[in-house]
Amino acid sequence: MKKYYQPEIETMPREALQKLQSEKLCKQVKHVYENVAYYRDLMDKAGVKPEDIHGIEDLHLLPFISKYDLREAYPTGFLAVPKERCVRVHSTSGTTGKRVIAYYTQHDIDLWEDCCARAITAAGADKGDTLQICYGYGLFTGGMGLHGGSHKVGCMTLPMSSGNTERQIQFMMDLEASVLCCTPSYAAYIAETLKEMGYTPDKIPLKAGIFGAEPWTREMRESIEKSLGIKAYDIYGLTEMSGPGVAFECEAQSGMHINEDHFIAEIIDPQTGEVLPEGSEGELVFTCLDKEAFPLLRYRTRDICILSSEPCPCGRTHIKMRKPMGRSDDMMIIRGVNVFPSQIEAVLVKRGYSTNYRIELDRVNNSDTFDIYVELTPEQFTDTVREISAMERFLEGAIHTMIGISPKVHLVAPKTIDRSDGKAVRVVDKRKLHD
Amino acid sequence: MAISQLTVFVGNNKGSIADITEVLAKANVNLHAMNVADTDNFGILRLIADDADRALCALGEAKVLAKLRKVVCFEVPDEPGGLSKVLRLLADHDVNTEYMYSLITGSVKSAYIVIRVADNDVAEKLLTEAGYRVLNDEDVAGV
Repeated sequence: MKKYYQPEIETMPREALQKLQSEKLCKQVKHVYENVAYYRDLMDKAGVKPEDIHGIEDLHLLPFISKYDLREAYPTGFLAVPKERCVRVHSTSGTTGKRVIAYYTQHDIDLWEDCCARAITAAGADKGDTLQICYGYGLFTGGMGLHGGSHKVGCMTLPMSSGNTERQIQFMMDLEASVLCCTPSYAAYIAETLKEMGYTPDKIPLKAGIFGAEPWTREMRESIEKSLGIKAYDIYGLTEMSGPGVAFECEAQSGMHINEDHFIAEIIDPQTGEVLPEGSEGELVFTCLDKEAFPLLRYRTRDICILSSEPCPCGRTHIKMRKPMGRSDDMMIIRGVNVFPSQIEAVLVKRGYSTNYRIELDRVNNSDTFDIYVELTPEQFTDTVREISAMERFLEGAIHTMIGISPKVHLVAPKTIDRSDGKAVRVVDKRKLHD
Repeated sequence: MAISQLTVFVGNNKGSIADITEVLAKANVNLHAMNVADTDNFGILRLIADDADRALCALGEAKVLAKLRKVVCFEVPDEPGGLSKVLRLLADHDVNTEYMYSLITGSVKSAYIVIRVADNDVAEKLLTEAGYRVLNDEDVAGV
């Protein structure tokens, strides 16, 4: 079995890697300055010329790009090649505002699919494996990105797209899928359905899963691994950089290797924009190194995370990012306290509750209401109201211990909270704070 | 001994109990007793059926969350003070009843009471020794 998809790059000594990054960065900055008027203005305002960038040590001189800039420049403001050179677009869901349209030349697609191929190989897949891809196909990058990567590795690819769980399971069983690619919440749902149908983990053909596109906790990983009898690998990406595969987990399962020959990662203080030393927690910022159509420099992801370049037992030399604690967009401020849905999830999984939950926030008489709906499992259901109420109070206490404020927990019937075929809707914020 | 009670989770939405009773009607299950406990978010429906296993099967197929639980059922004279005597007896012996309801029967002389207690054996021994008739699943099907 192959260990690396591109060994010479994935295990390149760091010094050589940084030299490669420096060369690519100078070229990329020149390309952007010449072809993207919006960014040229930003650089001019900051008083930076492409000649000032001699290598990665000068990266901090470049201005940031935020989601705001992408909205301002919608739809073609960051397109850096003539449209006729592009072969595809993808788009974000636009749930937090205007969509971001990302453009790709064939070169851009190739490098993106290479990144996905590295992730698939790192999850232990090779020719002869069957990949079941139930990320959405279409504008969302999840489906097509891993699809292309799977072709590059030479795996048999099942382009299932999301939804129709019954059909997913039929294909998984009949075609003996060995690797499942989907969101962690959908993996948990498939696991639950398989269990209901009477399949024990040893009867499930899967050996690994590549799960991403939404935050998930270590507890959720353990629960998925146990119920499907697999190793679950994390994958990270964003449409603005290319899609899934910007970073991926190896067998060490201790953080995701960033594909540093294509993307430089920085951690900054989200308030001041100051670059923080390695090991600090802060906002993750990415710079493309060899993109043609949509080359973003110093793009602020809003993801909060930590980087580490400590040597990895897998032999890859690329820096690792810890699983993001949450997107700063996902962070809720409830009664003045910062809360991430992942913190709530960790409590639920630890106590044996379903990972299908919904947080509802509202404002009544100028104070925040904080309700969490959690599905009961059949095992937890009992015949007395007293016992179920006690479970609710217990969860409220456990969550209070975790985050410092008390929610009202409501246990509801199994399968009554909307299931996520794509990205899970965990938070419904009905507070109108900005009208 | 004790009898089998179906405990069914009822969501807080319109017609949810009707949905459940329709499933049981289709399975030709007859109900002898029912009781609902409600909270803000859901209800717990407790049923005594003529065939608890068949009822559980039918509910399972309809994806309704249901479980079986053994509860104590006994006969009391249908007259003033008939119930209070037996409840006093239980209380005096520290048998705490979590909930209680009565069974529908054709009898005019007797009433049948269902109680949920921590230890069925203790309660049944106490009731039998005091001269009360304690019922099993077959008895309930016949009343």
